[in-house]
Amino acid sequence: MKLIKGLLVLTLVVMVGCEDQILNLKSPNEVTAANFYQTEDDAIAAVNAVYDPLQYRGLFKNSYWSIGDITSDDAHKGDGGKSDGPAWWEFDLFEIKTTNALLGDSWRDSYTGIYRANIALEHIPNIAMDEDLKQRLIGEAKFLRGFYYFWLVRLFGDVPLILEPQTLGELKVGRTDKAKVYELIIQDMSEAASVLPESYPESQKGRITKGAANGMLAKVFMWQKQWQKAADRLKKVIDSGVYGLLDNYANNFESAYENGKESVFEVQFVEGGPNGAWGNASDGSIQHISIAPRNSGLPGLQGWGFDMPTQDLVDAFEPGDPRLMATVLMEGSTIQGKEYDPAWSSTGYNSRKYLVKRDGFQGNGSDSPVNYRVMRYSEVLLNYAEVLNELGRTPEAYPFVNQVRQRVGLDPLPAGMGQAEFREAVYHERRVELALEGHRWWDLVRTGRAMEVMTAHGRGSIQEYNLLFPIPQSEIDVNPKLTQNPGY
Amino acid sequence: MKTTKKKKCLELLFLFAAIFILTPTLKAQEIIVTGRVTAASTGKTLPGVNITLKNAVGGTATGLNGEFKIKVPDENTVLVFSFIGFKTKEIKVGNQRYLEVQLLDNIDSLSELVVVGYGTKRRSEVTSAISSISAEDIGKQTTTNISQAMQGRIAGVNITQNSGAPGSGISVNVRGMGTIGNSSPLYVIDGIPGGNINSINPQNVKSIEILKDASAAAIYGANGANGVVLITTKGGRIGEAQINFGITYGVQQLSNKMDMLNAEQYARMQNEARAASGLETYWDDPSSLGEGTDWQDALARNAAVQKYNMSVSGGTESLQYFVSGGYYDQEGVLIGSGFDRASIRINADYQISDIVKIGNRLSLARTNQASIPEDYPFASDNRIVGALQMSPTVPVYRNGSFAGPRGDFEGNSQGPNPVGLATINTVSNEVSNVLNRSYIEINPIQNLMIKSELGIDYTDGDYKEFNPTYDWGITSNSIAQLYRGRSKSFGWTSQTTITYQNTYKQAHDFNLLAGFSVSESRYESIDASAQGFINENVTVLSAASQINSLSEYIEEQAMVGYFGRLNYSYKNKYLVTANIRMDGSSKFGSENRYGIFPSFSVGWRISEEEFLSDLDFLTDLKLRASWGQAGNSQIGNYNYATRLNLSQYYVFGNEQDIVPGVAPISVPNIDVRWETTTQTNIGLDLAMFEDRINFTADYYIKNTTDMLIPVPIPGSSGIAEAPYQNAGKVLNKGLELSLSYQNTIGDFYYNVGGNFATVKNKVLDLGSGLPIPSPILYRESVRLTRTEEGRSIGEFYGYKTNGLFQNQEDINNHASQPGAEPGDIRFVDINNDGMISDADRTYLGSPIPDFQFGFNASASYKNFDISLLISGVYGNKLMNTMGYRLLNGSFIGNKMAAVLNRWTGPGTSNEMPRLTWNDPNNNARISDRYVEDGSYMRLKTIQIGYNLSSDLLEKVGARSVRIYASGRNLFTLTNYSGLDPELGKVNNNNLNNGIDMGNYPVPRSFFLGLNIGF
Repeated sequence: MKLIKGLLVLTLVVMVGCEDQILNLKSPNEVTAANFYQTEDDAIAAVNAVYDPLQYRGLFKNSYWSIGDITSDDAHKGDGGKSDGPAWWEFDLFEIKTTNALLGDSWRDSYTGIYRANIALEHIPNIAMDEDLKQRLIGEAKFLRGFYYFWLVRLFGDVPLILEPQTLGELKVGRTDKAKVYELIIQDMSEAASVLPESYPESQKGRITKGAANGMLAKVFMWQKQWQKAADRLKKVIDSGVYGLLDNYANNFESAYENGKESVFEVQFVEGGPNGAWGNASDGSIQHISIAPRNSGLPGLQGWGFDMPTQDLVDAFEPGDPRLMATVLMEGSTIQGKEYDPAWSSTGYNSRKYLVKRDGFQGNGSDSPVNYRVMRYSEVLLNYAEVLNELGRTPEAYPFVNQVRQRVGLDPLPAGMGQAEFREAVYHERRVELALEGHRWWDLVRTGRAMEVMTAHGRGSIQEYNLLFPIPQSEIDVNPKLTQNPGY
Repeated sequence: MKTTKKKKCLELLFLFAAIFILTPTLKAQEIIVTGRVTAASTGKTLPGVNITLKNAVGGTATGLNGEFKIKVPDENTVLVFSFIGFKTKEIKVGNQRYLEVQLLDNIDSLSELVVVGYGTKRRSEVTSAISSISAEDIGKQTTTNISQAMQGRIAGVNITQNSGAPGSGISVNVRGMGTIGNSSPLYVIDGIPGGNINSINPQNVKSIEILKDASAAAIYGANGANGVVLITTKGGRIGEAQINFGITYGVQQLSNKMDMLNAEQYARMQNEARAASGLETYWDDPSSLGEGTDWQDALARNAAVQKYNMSVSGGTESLQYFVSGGYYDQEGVLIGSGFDRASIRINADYQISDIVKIGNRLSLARTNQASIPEDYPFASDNRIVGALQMSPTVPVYRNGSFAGPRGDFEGNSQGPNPVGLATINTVSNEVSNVLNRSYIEINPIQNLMIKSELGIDYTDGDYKEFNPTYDWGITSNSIAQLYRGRSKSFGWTSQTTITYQNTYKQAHDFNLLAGFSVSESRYESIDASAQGFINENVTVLSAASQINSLSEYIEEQAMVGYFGRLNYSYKNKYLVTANIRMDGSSKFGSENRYGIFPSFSVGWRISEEEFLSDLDFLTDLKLRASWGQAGNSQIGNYNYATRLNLSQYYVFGNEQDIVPGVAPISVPNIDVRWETTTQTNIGLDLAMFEDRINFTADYYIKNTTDMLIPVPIPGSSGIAEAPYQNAGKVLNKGLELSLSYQNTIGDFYYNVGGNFATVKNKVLDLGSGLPIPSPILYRESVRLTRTEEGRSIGEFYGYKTNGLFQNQEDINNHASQPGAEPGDIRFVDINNDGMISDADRTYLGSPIPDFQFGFNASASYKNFDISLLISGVYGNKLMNTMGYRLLNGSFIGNKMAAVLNRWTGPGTSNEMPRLTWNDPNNNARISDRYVEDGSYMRLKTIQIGYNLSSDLLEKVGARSVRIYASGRNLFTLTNYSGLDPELGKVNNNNLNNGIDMGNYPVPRSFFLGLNIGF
């Protein structure tokens, strides 16, 4: 009996003594902030996570090209009824709703990238590691933060400018004037350009280079119409000698030529990644299944028929321009070793560039390995030509357009064009050179032609306020400090 | 209380639980009593009647002929005769040596023992809201699991099958939804919280108690806020071995079908929709297509159920045992689904000495569920929606293989042959479970009891899904996929209680309980997916040409609790109970780890008062009142810590190497703590006319505060996962009534009973003041419900409709609605701003019923008996999302026959819009078109039985033989147009309640059964 009582008392004592030990559990699946951000590897992993959202739906998996192409006169939403993919229809018809899924994705995913950049920039300076590598990683994070903001500011105008990790109590932030946002983008990208290397070893291709930072920064300056600053940056890219045009234009969209010499900034995708397909976390793109013909009935070439080229775009190509067949699937095209049948699409056209093209492809179309070329060297050349022309140096601008034309076997531009005429010629060249790569809508907005061109194109009825898209309603719902853009 | 001492705490705890004390068995004096027990009503002898000694060790049971023989210590010994269905009778031995005992039919519920947390109480002493279900009630139903057996029986407990698929989950809500988070009750199996209730064979259950109010549940503290379900399994009984054998065989069939278009109608409607959008039509001659395929018939089958149970129980005065084995096998009424369970239970109790008793409850079970996908709304990935959408022009088979659509117009986009997929794709989930509870009871001195228990729960999960290649028409799968998951979970609970009870001056009854418990659990899983198999008969991971993903996940949690209870009663007239519990949980940071949960209840047995003693008809009248608090911590682990996710991969290099990225995916909430429910309950128990009439009424007010909700955070935070915050308040209040009447007229016995419960649910506070939209359901980015302050949880949200535009003038007179044409739906301009936009969406109804009810009746005449159970709900709304695709021309695929009544010109319809391929008006948008009345009344179960009479029994040499026929879900009364109005929650999420995603309907079943006892 005494034994029992004694043990009972003992057990009670032990209970009281060890309960905190029992209750202190740490997640076995994750590391905690307290024991991370300490080594070089930690710093690299933190910056890799800043790249990761480039693969998300709100960026290059989907929204970037969907919005850039479908809102413009280059592409339609494509096949499927009105209830099929309403978010795409909204851009197609300028009936953009505050609940648009592509915009919601873009908002959230860009800020995910920004948050991770902020985390990396908070911790990496305190890590004891190789100083060059540290500066490079900081440069990569800054470029990416600037790039995510650049995407946001073009979509929405004024946006919350968040430059440090927040705690739970300080998450609701109002919008900052877009001029301030541009200042930050320019600052981030300039700092990145000054520390990033011109190139990386084979195993690190895809990281941000000095050329990517200068090239993207130039584009930011072009949005600001700061032509001289843009010209300086573009000249650096051209003079670096790192980049050149591929002999065959169509190779730019082939797997074998990924991260080639024409690629200035390229987002990486791979099929069969560890996080499966479809979701943000997956490392493949859904671009293949989105743009593949809806009615091919072929396992590897069966999709939704979105991002469908318009007749207007097809007509924009000069006769004999091989870029047409590289851009558009149409009568006479071959794809995956098969002849394209115009009946696969309701218009006889489909988008070609970002399809998986290898013969007999039977993989998961929602997990496409095709890298996204965000900035090709040909764009750098066309940007430089445009900028020189704007600076009144039209004759100097000629060779840069002609390089792009010569590569596809077209005649040089006729000599002696005035500034206005040359500007139109560059605009046209941009359209056909960069078609269905997510540029067209932004070029129209940047150059102030969107209202005119889209009204003439006659699809939906574009309103002046459509030049900015609505702040996602779901964001305003949870953050009363946000205001909506006019018109929505 | 804090210490950093590193001790091997657990070993010491186990040591205590494992103490084994042997003391000499009591030597009894030799008085031998014999006798015979018969039923007072029929005069028949009763075999298997339990006979125990009051306040002493020992007992026996009557034999086949109702006779018994027992040794008792002295003449003061009181023998207690108890038998299911009869009143317990106590007889003092005195100078009698032969007893002729007559047992009255049990119409006395007062002395019935009710299991409460950490103990039992007589029904008459209960002061809180506790409902019970007996083994008899469970046994009369042919159910797969315990939850089904509870359905419709208890006022205030709402049980809904999430799906009719064999082995699928069930939503149980005790007294409304107390939280927008997880509102499932706590399950306590044989005294220990936790355990997989799906693994328990309903035939082995002795009783189920539901602790509804906080005063009853508070003893379970941090886990009691959503009510507690106590499940007690059968133990052995004293007497020679009794063998029971049961066999049931049944057939199930689809209870309902949706009225869909046939092939000819389908082609006609599709042509019309395309023409309306200026597109060329697909079908040249619809009339040549005839009826075509009925895909619902093709997917359905008559499915068999078989059930075998065997048990052996018995015991001596010191050792009692109950051993049972069962096998249950149910085919699904839809091809590709099924469930089976093999289970073994060994329960034993051993009285080692006067003061020490040990016992064990061991359950071994293996379940295997084969399933077809049904949890995707709107999409053909859901096998049922796939079958409904499939073009009736496609045959099931063609050229000896499954047929597929031959062109887009036959519906490539709505997916491949659903019968083919259900046949070749296999999904199996095999779960093996060991559930063990051991206890030691020590009675060191009179009135003092120490009980130490150890519960162990081990579960092994084995998931396998294989999708082979196929090529049917234009649909094909060129690469086979395999998904594998292995998981194991191990949890243990150790609890010790000390109970002291005594009576002073024959008036003051005290019962004091103090105890503590510790529990830990760990879950581990490894999941993999792979593709590409050279030979699809070999489907192991290592035969795959490519491993797509491989992941491991671990989760741990721990709890520590201290609790105490005082019961006091004065002359069994005034009753008081007070509870207190303090719990600590690993889910919260060290500052907020502990919660204290008090409760208090009182009872007044008015019928015991002198002034009512004249009212002879009054058996019992008791008033009850209680107040208490209980907690809920059903959120994920580690919410308070900053955690970094390791799998934010990116890709670099020309070899496309996947590199790991590390980033936080959640903002920590270091302040997160318990959610608390405070409940006040007032109740009345009334029994009259010798217990023939029983009536119970309860009214409760249940307030949830500090509700744990993932308050939505801005996307600009960069965080995908909103952390849980203690931010909300929810109020539930309701009235529960139950009434029963039983009587015996000669050989005829009958009873009828009913229960009725209302619940009013209201969200008082959501922290941010902003409404919470429900999670997006699969691909369409549609949120179907919204939860807002001042409304109930999860109300449907969308547009209101107001008929159709009959002509252009109607459109011109209405608010601007882009794309509208005559024949389209007129949406209501709720905010009167002259245009139809998202801002015009509004609340369309609540999935929470105004009231639920149950009705049961049983009767017996001589050897025949019959029982039935009806249950239903009234006043709830359901969202029939199937209409989204099946009523709109803009989706490829078959349509409901209702579209035949579509608008085809002015005045032709004001409900069903025109069919258009492009749907420029977006008629398909979520609106009150899809919201329907969900009230129903269902004949849940009916059973007719015949028991062999005793002379026949003697001939066959059996103790009992019963033959029965029964049916489940034979009949449903409802206005709901979908397959089944009984709809639970999507993913058990309270925000997606009452949504029909094309759920697997509950089948209609017929059974024949035979029970034999030896």
